[in-house]
Amino acid sequence: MNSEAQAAEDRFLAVVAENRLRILKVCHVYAWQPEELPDLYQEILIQVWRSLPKLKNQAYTNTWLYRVALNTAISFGRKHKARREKTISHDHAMIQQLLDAKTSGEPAADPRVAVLYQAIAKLDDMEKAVVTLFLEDLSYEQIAEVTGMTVSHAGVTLHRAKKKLSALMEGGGHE
Amino acid sequence: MNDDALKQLWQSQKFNAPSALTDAEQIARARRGVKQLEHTIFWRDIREVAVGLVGMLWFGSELFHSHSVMSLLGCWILILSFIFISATLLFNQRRVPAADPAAPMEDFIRCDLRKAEVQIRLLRSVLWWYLLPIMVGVNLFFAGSGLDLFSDLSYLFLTVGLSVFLWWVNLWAVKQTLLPLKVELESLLGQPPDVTITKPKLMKKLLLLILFTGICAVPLLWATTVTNSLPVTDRKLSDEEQIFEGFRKQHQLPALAVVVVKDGKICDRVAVGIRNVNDPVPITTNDLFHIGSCTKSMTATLAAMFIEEGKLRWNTTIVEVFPELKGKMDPRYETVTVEQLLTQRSGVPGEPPPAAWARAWKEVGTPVEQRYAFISAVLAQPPAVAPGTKFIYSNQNYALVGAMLEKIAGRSWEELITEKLFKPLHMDSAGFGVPGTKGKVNQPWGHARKFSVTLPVQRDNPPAISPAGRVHCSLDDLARYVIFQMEGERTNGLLKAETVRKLHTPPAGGDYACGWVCLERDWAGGRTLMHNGSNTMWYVVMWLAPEKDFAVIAATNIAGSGAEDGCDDAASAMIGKWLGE
Repeated sequence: MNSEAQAAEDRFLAVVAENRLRILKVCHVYAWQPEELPDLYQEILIQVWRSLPKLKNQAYTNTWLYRVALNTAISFGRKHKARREKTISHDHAMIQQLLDAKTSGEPAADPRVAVLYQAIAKLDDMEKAVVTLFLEDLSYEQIAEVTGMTVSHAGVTLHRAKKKLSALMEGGGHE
Repeated sequence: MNDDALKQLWQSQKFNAPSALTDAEQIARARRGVKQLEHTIFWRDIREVAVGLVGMLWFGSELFHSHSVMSLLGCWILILSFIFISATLLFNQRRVPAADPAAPMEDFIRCDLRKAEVQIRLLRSVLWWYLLPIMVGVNLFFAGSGLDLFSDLSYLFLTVGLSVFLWWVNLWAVKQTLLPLKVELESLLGQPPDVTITKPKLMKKLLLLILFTGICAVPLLWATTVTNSLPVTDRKLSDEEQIFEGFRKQHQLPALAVVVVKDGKICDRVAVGIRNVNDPVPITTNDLFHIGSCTKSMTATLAAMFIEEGKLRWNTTIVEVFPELKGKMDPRYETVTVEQLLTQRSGVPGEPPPAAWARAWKEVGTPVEQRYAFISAVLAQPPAVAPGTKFIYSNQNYALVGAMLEKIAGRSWEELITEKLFKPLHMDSAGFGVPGTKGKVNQPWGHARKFSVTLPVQRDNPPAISPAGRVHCSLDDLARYVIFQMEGERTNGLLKAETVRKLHTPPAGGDYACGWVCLERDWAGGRTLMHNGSNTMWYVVMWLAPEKDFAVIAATNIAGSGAEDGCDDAASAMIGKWLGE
């Protein structure tokens, strides 16, 4: 194997290792069924592998990765929509189970996380992305960069999404 | 929960990767994934090119078989349509570049939206860019194939009906999947749903449909005005041929041929039309026709030769020839004679036993073995009436006579009749079964009409009943046979005159002699001998007027009432011309 290919592989593995948690969180936001999650995760890695050679400036790796992960997740959701509509909609218990399954060896996940996911699941794809990016602690500028919105539009969308989210979470708390 | 608390909660999550993979496996998977993506795109393109290619090859091959301008034009339109359709599909797939997953999300979604819009436009207009050129081509192709107007109309309605169905399926797909997708993508982009997308009005749909049908019907109108007035033969028809061409068209026959015998010579022959409706090669006066039951008198003649040779008697019984079947056959058949079989007075039912008939179609063994198995089963069935009491027309009688001759001579009926009848009469074109080469139009094809569509077919009855009706030959050769039958009544030749007269004489109180129907006709100056023959895909009729030393034979390569009427018209025209009736 030549050194260029070796370098590409090393770079890919480094990016994946560094961003595994980020990718998994995106997967949990967009993949609802336990059996979908590994597929989505794999799909994102494939797109990362495909797009990585085109990424020249290392400084943008962070926002670049979110773009790839979120775009892939949204397309994935559309592709599997038919299947999803046939199966039951995700619910609290399923998400808890999903999270528990993924945290084997760890203490059981905070039940509030499940409530949060359930609320996020009710947002539209763009709002999900904005909220995820906000929770991931990205700035408005960075959110705008990932989504392609203007900074002010990103702010408005996030504000609206957060309002929806807290309403949903409160509503969910009384269930 | 405030923002910070939420973020803290979010970031407290810990996950394991969905599957523990080594680095090498990770890379391998990624590579495989990319390859799969490329494969998917490659095969999608191949699929679309392949559809076009298959269509092109199919109709391209028809180019070599088609002889009418209209069919050729239809073929070319179809070939170009398939190229155009493949190109349209490929072009539209490439018109919107694949979305870059690393693009900002809104750009990515916009790209998907554009794709959906292109797809919607394609599916909505499928009637025009996909279905119309194909259906126009198909209708041209069929219209040029020399079918009748009713068949052409059936094809038109079939193609339009199919188009409407496909159009509806496409519109349904747009409504069910693409429009909701478009609305979803637009709302993700914060755009109001496009209000210009409304359902096409019913009236508009109807108008489009009428327009579509109108365009599809153009070839048909052309066909009715052009091909029907222009004979498919390129040559100019004589005035006399025009008369027969008129009969042919009136009765919707692929071909019509007639030959006339007067004073021991062939004096007239006409052949108009085509060998095969899907491959309109003009028929010629030398072409072969399947003569069906006109074979029967030939088998009777062969039996008469055996009688003159002393190998057989008119009153030889079945059990004399087949003593081994005694006990297996119905005892009432044991004393049935050759003469009773030839005059169809054996009591054998008209329909064959179903199981034996089904087995005959399988054609197991040599023709001799097939016939022996068949007649054994026929004889095992009870007779329909007491032997010798009543005329019942049955192919089985002649299959029985054929099998008897085979048993006596130890040779096949085919060999015997070729050697003893066809060769001495110089009936060199005579053969058995379907005329011509399988799949080739080097001779006429028979035709079957299914659901008003005329289809060329190369099929025949099983060899078990060959002695009753599986000979084919040119009409000239059949005329030579007819001349022998008429001259044979007067002079000794292949048979003694008295033997021929015996063959032509029905039993007292009947009309059916040995393979001949005997009727009185004024135009014939009294006695006529006639027989017709059809294996349901051909029709031939022979009329012999021995008193006037005149005969006429008419033939067509289709069966049914149209064939019978057409041949009667043709024969009548010749009787009028030559006998002044």
